Amino acid sequence: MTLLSANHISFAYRSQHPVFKNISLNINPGEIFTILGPNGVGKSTLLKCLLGLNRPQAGKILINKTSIGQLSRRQIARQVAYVPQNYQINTNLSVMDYLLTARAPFLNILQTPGRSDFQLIITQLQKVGLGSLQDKPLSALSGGQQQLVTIIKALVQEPQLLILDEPMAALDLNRQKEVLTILKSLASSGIAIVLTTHLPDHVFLLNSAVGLFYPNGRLEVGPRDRLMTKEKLSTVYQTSLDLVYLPHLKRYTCQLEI
Amino acid sequence: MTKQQHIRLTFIGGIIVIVLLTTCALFCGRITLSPDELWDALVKPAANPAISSVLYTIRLPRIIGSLLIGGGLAAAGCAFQSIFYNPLVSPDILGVSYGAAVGAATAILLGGGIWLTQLLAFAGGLIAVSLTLLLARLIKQHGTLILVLAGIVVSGFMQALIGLLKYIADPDSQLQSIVYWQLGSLAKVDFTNILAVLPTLIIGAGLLFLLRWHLTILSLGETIASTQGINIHRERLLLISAGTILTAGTVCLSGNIGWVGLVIPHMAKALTGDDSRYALPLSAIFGACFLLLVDTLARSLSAGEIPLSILTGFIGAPLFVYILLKNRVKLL
Repeated sequence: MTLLSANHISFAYRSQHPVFKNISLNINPGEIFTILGPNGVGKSTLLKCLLGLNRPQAGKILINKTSIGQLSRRQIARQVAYVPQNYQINTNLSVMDYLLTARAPFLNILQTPGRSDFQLIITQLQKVGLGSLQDKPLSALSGGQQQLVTIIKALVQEPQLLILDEPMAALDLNRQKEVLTILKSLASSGIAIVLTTHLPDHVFLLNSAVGLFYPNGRLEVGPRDRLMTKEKLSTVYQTSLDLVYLPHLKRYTCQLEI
Repeated sequence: MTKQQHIRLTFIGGIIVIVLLTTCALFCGRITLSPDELWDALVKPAANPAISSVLYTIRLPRIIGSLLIGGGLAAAGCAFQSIFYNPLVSPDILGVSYGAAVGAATAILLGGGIWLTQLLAFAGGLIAVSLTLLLARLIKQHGTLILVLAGIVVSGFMQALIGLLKYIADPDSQLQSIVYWQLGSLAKVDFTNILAVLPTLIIGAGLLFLLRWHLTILSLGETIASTQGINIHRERLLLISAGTILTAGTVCLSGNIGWVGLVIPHMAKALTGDDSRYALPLSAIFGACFLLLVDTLARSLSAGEIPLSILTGFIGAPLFVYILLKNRVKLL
């Protein structure tokens, strides 16, 4: 059963300047879908439409066969979690208090988190080796640790669909590997994942389906083998690129031609 | 010490300070009482009617009034800072206090009682904060300072309205009351006023207290709060109304008292972190302590009473400069 489906959606902040037109995509449980595209093309805008934060002028978005417009914010949050791009944490909250906010969709307006919520977070933190940081203020953490905490926050929300906007942007290679491993294991447990990235290699590392966002606002969706070609990627990024096969890793890597 | 133990100790400390300050405030004033005199006046009012009268008609109402007003303003300030995820806002900076004062002054001109005063103070506060938000939206720039600038504009406009109301007020009967509201004082607080305003304060503070965890989520910004399942528009409206009700209630009792709603939440957050589950009630405790201390000093330091705004300014301004210096990177 399709978890998320977008049918012919178009969005414009101002009516005469559409960001994108006529985009369709389907995401199934356990599927990873990676969106590639240059800066400013509308990747984050599309993600915000899928989250119900932006309302498309045309087309329909369905989550578990229900139109997103008919779902309350709480109903959406129980199914979809979000990791925003370059999220600047400007708060004095502790890691634990910050993560507890992800339990809001499961509590009524007057409730505050309880022992079971607390325990769930400790388990998640310990899984990634950040258990000792629970009482630390978020602002005291490194950029990489903060990004990892925002990803853990999305997991604490126990979503069926996880939407991540450039989740690897602030991470060193070791942390990137950690996040890629987490995403693969989440997908194998049935969680659908939609992410944007600037590094085409992530598509190969995640064995994911692909959406190529062209500078004219068109999104081409399809399997990795058909879309991840030198010609298409060069058109998307408007620069000369090459795909090189790494026999010892049994995958391709994308290189700039300089 | 774990964070929970630290927070628990901070709350216990705050409550002990309230008890100590209240005890001191009962002794202090233009007439200093000995422990025996105070005890007699409390339990046997008929034995010394003069001292009992000072205690029951002046000191006790002022002490209770300053605890309620200080606590209310600081809690409202803490809430507004979270609702707008902006550390520079407070009921007076957003124009709520001045809007409420315009409402109260209008009620005086109309010859209304305490209920009309409360109703118009609430309406004035709500109109002022709506204008501030509208102006900030019209300027179409996001940022900490735009909301503050819009608040300054609206506060200025509201002060001009108060000026106009003073101009048309009857100098013999109405002008003095309007000036009282404009300058802020606890001199007219009595048990009748406190009881009339108490339901308003309880509704405003109660709503904020019940929704304090959602204040924490709102403080993370619109996008994050929305994706956590929060209905931003509905909850903001509810919380702004609660903060405005609370501010309007305090304005009805004492007029405008500055700095409390701006500075005290920062002091509380320095000890508990930004989580409003703890910062909101601790702000209320600290605000109550602060205003009780200031009012006790105001009525004890000299033969005449020092206006409250002078003392809150002398203490609040340097504290705020310290907070600005400490947070300058965050605010930019």
